[in-house]
Amino acid sequence: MNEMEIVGSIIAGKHGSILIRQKSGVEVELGDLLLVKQKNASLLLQVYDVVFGSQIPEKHLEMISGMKLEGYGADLDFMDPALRNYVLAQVKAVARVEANNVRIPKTLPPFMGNVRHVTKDDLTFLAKPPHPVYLGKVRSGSKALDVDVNLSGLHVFKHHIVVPATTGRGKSNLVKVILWSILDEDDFGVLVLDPHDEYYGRHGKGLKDHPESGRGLLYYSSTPPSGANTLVVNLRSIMPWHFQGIVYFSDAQGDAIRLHYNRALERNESWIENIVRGVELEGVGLRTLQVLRRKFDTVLGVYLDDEGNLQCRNRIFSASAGTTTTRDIADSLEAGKTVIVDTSRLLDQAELLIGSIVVGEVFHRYQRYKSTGMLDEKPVVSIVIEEAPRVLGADVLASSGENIYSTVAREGRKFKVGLVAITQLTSLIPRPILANMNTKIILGNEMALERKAIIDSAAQDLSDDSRTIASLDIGEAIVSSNFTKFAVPVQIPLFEEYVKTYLEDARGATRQEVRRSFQGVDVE
Amino acid sequence: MKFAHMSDCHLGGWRDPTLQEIGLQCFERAIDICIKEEVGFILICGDLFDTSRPAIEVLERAVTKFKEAKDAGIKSYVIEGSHDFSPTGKTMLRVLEKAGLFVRVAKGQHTEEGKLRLAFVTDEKTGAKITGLIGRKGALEREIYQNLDNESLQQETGFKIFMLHTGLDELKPDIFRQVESMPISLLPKGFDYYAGGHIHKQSEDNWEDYGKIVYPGPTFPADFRELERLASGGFYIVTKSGRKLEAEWKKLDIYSVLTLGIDADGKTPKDVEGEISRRFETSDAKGKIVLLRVEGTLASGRPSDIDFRGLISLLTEKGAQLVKKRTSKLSTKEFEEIKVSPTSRGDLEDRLIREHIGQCKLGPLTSDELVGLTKSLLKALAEGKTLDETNKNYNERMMNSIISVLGIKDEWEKTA
Repeated sequence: MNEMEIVGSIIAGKHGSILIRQKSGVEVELGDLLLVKQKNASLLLQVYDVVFGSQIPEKHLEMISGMKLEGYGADLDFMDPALRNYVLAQVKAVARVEANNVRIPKTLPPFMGNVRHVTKDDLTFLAKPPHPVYLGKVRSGSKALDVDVNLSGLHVFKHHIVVPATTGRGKSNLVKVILWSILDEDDFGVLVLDPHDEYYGRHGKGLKDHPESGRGLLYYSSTPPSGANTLVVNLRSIMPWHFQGIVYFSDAQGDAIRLHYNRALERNESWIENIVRGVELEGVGLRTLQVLRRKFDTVLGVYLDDEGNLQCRNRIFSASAGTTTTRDIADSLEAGKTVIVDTSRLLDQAELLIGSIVVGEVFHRYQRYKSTGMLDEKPVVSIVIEEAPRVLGADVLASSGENIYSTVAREGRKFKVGLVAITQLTSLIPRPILANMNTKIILGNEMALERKAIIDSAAQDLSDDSRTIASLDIGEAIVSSNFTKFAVPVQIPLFEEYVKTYLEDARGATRQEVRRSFQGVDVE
Repeated sequence: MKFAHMSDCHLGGWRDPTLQEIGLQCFERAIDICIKEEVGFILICGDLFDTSRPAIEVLERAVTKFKEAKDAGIKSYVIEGSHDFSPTGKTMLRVLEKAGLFVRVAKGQHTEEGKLRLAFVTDEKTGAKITGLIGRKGALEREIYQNLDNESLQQETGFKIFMLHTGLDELKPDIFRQVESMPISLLPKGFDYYAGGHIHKQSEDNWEDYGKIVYPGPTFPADFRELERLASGGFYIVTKSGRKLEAEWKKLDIYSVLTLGIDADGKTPKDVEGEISRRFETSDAKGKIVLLRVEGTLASGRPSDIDFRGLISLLTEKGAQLVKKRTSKLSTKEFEEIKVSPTSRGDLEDRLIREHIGQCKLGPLTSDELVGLTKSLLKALAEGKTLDETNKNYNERMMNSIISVLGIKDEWEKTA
């Protein structure tokens, strides 16, 4: 189809709901981007519904259809069918483009104005910003245009991103594409808490395959492949406040923890080890101590073996190793690296706890940098968290109180720390937090309640787009952001294909392998 | 089977002759213990010497001990560390190896895939198979680890030891957080014993899929802070009985260390002197290395007003083996609490120089001229040595540059 071909004409409507009669023989899809010329400007339109239209009264149509179906007139047809029966597309104006300046449209398009599909040349205003985060190509309906969608990483990361979608719509694929596109940038540090161990690419393509992975990527796992770090956290790195909002402790348990912590601090001991060892303390009941031991066993997997040695079931917490792990991760984030923490062998609470230690460290460092005027020199740090309602859900916040993740969600942008919250259940996140997440990359979602929560907190008016969101296929998304001119429909590339193209493009720039000298080793 | 594992001897490292001597004595004692305990072999995991070309007298002492061990039928196995490694390959360790005093184990060959296949050295007496890799400054050896042919190392059977001079991320002590290190996963798996060096702290760990990873720390602390922290060095004697490995750390405490910390905050030089004297009187310093650390901001006067020389001789008279002082964190109020909002390094320097310029008098120069002169001097002194420049040429160039900045060419020539 010729992209410049007229696809319809504007026949009726009002601002926000314009009716187009579709030309016969062309196809207009839900989500299609159309264009109508105005005086000195172009108006970008987006289809949000399509309905049949006919000049023939409905009763007659029913009769004609019945006759054909029941065999009374097999050759029966309409006179000038293209003229009498047609499709009406309901569109809304999403942007007014005048000499590459984009504004929110405030006028109606010309009555009876001819409409065509948008082309690459119509979207030159979608220029690549500095420090870009790549999302995919502009999508018109289900067709991808050769126009890249990039967001300014410096803005979107610190103002939080939410990725709402149901299972199987391509959330992980999207996040992988995003992370790959910024891996060679040192203006962003990204912490990925990866409960499915799917980002590094242990068994397939992943971020490890990026040409800059040696410099910009760190991978922590309890079963690290060669070159990766062992995820091992020293018990002394865990402070009582790291549990806040993640593990519930009663008042008595909280008091016992405080007493043990203060005592351990004075003696340079580990308060968790002391509790697990059952060290008795004045003011701490034996029963409370037992409950705490059980809790630490459940959450951290830490227990005493028959010989009285401290052991950890998942080998992630240790009394001797991993002294610098969490600060090393924070250092790497501060150096603009991407750090993937494979938490697939951890229970929910332990995963969130490790995240809490690292995020707390980064957040407090950045608060300090702000007060000393050093924040501008630091990269934006973003934390990718799956199933975000585990820490941002209204019920969790009500029962366990605030946690470091909710603090970041509310205050992080002041300190250049943001969240990338991935969720199937957006409606569980309280509205004030959701409203603070200024970029929403909306993937397909069949659940009306979830769509409503997304639409209600979107940066653009998506009130007519519920059906469009429901019909988004795998890899299709709508990006609604304070940092985009309109809600941009996006086709996210399949990660494997994106990587292939990227590596092919990069191949020319890679240097030839040279024989290594292994300096200092006597090589025959 | 019994073997010794030591590292970071840094022989010849201390400038102070007494401490240098103690460092040498600790090494000698370690070898004596190895001979007495009849170990099968000795592992030295890097930084035997403090430089790749140590002084003759240091070399002589080391050679003597290696010869004694050799004569006692004990072989020594060595890797280069970040201090005694030389990028040009000109390290004295090569010479000593040629002399048959020990074996440098970091040897191998290229594989067809461009990887490094390390060779094992088999200790004849015990049958232990030993290999390892050197350590370099800034953990530059990491690239070699990334290109190791691990399969060949893992396939080797028998009792295997891997020697390394590299910090490991997961086991790095807190105080060495800033030290470059690498993840354990870069080490080849399946060795019975990983003999570590480089980290100046003793530690013993058992790591899943690996084995015993042991760091003995230095045989003698290498600087003032380490002396304060460790007081003494040591090494391991490892005994293998069946499949069990028992590592026993042998402390090398030739002299005791007495640490005296003085808080000078808000005190006058006289107050500080009085406090130091009192502490000296109540401490038993006889035969000890005394470490005196004075920190804080004096209420008046300058650090140089404190008669450290007199105080130290007082203690020496009381029989102290050696007194070392550290006053780098001792300052005077005149140099404190200058609040600047830095815009650029240049601006910051400018402001700091102006804050202090009143304390210096240099002939008829005005404040502005003094600031200019100070900045020019700073610039001249910041010049580094170029790659192809010899020390002599560099010294000469620096001297000319400074003479030129100070404008004293004529005077200099006259006095020279």
